[in-house]
Amino acid sequence: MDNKHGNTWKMIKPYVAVVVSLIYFFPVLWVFLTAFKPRVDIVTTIPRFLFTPTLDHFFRLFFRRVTVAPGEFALEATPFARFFLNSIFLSLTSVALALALGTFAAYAISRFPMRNKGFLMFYILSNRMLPPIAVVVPLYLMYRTLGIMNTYGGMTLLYTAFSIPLAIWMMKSFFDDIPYEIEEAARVDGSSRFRAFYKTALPQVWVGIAATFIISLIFVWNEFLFALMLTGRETRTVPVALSTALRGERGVDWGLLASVEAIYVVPAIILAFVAQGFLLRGLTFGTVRK
Amino acid sequence: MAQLILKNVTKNFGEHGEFPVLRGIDLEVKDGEFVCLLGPTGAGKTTLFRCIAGLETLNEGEIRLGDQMVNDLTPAERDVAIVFESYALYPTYTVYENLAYPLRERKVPNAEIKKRIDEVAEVLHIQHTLQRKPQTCSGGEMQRIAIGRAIIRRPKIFLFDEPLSQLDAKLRNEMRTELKRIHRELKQTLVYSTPDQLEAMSMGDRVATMRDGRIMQYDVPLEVYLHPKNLFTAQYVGDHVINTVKGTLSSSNGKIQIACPLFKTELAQNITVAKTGGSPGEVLLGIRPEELTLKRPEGEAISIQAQVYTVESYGDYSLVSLSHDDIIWKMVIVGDVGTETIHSDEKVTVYFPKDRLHVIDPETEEVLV
Repeated sequence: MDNKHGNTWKMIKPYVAVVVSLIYFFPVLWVFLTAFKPRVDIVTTIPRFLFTPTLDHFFRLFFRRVTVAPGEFALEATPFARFFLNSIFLSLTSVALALALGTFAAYAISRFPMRNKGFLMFYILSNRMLPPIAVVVPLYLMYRTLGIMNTYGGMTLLYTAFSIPLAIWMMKSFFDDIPYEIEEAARVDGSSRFRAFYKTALPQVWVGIAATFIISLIFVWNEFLFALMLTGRETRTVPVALSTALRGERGVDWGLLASVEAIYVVPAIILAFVAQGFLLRGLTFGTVRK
Repeated sequence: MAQLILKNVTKNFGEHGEFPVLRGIDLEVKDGEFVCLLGPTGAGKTTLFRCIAGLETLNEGEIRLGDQMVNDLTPAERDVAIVFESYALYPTYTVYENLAYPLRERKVPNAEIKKRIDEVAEVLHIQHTLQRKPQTCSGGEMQRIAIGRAIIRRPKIFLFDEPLSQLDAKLRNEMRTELKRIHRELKQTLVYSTPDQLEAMSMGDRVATMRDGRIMQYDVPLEVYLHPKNLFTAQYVGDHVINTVKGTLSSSNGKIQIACPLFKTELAQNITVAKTGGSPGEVLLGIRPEELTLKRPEGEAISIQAQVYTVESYGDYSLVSLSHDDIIWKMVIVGDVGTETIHSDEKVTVYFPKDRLHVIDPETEEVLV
């Protein structure tokens, strides 16, 4: 009886999973559909799932027509390509920096005796506990005084600082989980402390580095508030551009909005998909013994 | 190859050094000698190894390797090899790379590395594992790989930290023989720690018993067994725990009389007991279960009247518990005679040679005779 019950559940489980994922996936799907819909089809009262797809919105995203002379038009690039590049550049550099610094810090905290280690770890994490809205104004004033508003350096600094706590916490748990004796064996075998770290510890936490990289990258990729306050025309990232630059005189341009989102969400989806193995291991590392 | 000399090696743990782990260790290991550190968990064996290897800094004392004082050298500079209890193999490298690691760190050319790995793999019978990751090898193989990584670079001295404790009993027996063979071939200085007295007694040229961060006795195995210097060593060494009984010491007519509920005897030597409390003349008397016999031995012997309490037969020997009032003593009878000739509740007379009696000071735990 029990067994039969179990079998039934086993059979319907994948279908339930499909339904649940569809519910979650629906908004994303809708964005993709909208991005390819002709303008008239976007706002129909009865939503349309069948339509002639168009690349018009994507085209409009990167190029606009300007009147050169009466009756003559030319194509001009919109600043959007730059916003995309900004997003990519800022997330990659800041996360790479944060990961490098965070890995060293985490290794030191994990391996070396120091006083008030618990407090130190708490303090590091507390940087992430304050709601961003509470620090954005002081940060704004600091950035303005220092003259690093709307600079790549300033934004990289901010996002690096923003990513370091998570990097330290995650990497520390990975280092804590690998036995110190292996590095000690390496030191007895003739390695310096740094080489023992580099040659024996680091290869063991490779999965952790990948997981931390992806999680941090997604945080920075989606960050909105700081970017809104501290970036300008040159350094603007896509989330900010989404909210500000897409309002035309005729209200929100949904097609354009959807096309930005469609492009913007793709790297995140691919990353999450490729890395779901790492993510799963990264998020459960330390909690479950192999 | 080198001799190892430890002088007053002291190590405290804790933020303010409030937990002494090594309390002034003096030890001399000769060139090419196989020395076993024998002691229970927490005796400080591992910490002592870590100090010798340079993984811990000393609070006091001196470590000399060969003719060099190594206190201030890094682990890499000391040229010591450790086989860790956990093996500590590099999980991300193949067995081949594990063995190559110490050589690569010393910039040994590839051809030489290959030659040496082939040699070591043959000695240790691990040729078939070379291309695998260490985690995929069996316990015995991992243990041999760990030894291989130590011997491949021909260090001044080997430290083996309880290398057999992770193996099952059968494999442990095999590896014990194997290790002796390896040491005979290498002829190198080797210090070996173990909580197992059988391992220490069977393998070491000399045995150092350790407790609470002190060396209790350091001598050849037979001496440690026959003439323990203290109660701890007497109790820790030997397959069966030494029998003890409280007794009193008195002198009359210039002769030392010993009396206990089991027997009375006279001592030839003159001894004194520390008078730091307890009633004067109180001693502990010890005799090994293996020394007790049913037949009167040749020479001077002491006899005990007792009742057989239980007989446990182990096939090749029997362990007999003897009771006398509420004192229980153990006796070992080799061969299958035990169950044949001795039965529970039977009254027996057992003997032991007088010169095998140990008289122990209960205060200092020193063995006086």
